[in-house]
Amino acid sequence: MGHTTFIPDQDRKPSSLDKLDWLLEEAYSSEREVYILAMSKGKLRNPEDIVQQCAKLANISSAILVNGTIDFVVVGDENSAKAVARKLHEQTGEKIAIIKYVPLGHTYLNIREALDVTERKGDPWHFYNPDTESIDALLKN
Amino acid sequence: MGNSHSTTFDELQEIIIDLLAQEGSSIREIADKITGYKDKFSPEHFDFLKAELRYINESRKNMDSRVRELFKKAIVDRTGLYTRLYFDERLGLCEHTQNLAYIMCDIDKFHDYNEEYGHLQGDTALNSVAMNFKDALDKTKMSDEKVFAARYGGEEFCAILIDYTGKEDLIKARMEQIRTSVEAHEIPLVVPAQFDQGYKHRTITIAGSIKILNEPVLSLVKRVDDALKDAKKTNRRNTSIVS
Repeated sequence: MGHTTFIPDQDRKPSSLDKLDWLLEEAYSSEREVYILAMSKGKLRNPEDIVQQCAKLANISSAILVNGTIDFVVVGDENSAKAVARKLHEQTGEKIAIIKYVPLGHTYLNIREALDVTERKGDPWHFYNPDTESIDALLKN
Repeated sequence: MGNSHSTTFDELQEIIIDLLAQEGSSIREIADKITGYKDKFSPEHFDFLKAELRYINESRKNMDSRVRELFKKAIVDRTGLYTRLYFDERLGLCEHTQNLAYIMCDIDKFHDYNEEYGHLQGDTALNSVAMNFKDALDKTKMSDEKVFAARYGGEEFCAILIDYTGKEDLIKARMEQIRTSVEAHEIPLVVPAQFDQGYKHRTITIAGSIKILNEPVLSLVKRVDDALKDAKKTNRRNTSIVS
């Protein structure tokens, strides 16, 4: 058994995960809070249109399709994030997970965990609390 | 190796990370199930199952970090800066960013350096200047500003400064600082050789500008590119700001 050498592909384009990271890094600073509002792409017929339309809502700094999710970056506080979540739900009928952005975290995994929890709760939108609702927290109890 | 290979590679990271995310959903479901049947287990067995799930969850997160790290390597040039293709994509996302500055620099007479000291030493000089360019950018960074530096091509490097809120005189002073820092930095000797002292230092010519209100990013790049070209024609080892 030999070993495998990983040869980077210098022509690689950034993935949507990379782009989400950029958008969040760009929006984040030590003086302001950033929230991710996520919805599942699920059965939506035209997710690209939703990205286009909802990106124009107040307080949304950017919107992007990442794998099976549509993610909106909101700069502001908890209340403004909730207000945007309400509007997003009204506009799309989809359940919205609200996640506070933490740099250097497992952002996409957290988004999916938050969506999982939101789906289970059945609320139109849900503010995800990793301290009590993450898998880590679940397995600690 | 055609586009199909490249597309598969592009998608690979997303596929892996998505599978890891799905695994999270399964772990949660298992945790819910065993909690529902807690009474059927002895406390020791229940703790054992939870510990196993914690281990799987931790491995999942470690793999997420490692996959992201691995894929990041694919977007970095041999100089340690981002590749041009990656830079172009990043620049494209800045179309509507208002507070933006763009800087470009070129190593003076790099062809002559390669001829004089050989390509091995030339590569070392290239890497050394690239890293010094990036370090100087980081050291002079304003708070909350994001710096994204790349190898534009050949011996040319560039950077976008996102959320740059300074004025022209400030960026000019900063570019001058970068230029002198690169010039002062000593390039290491890659193999023992009887070179004159010329291998130790290289000068650069640098140009930059701030994005005008509603200006397309490509127009900003062109203005700076033209300014750099002009500066190289008339006077190397120069700092040039375009309005």
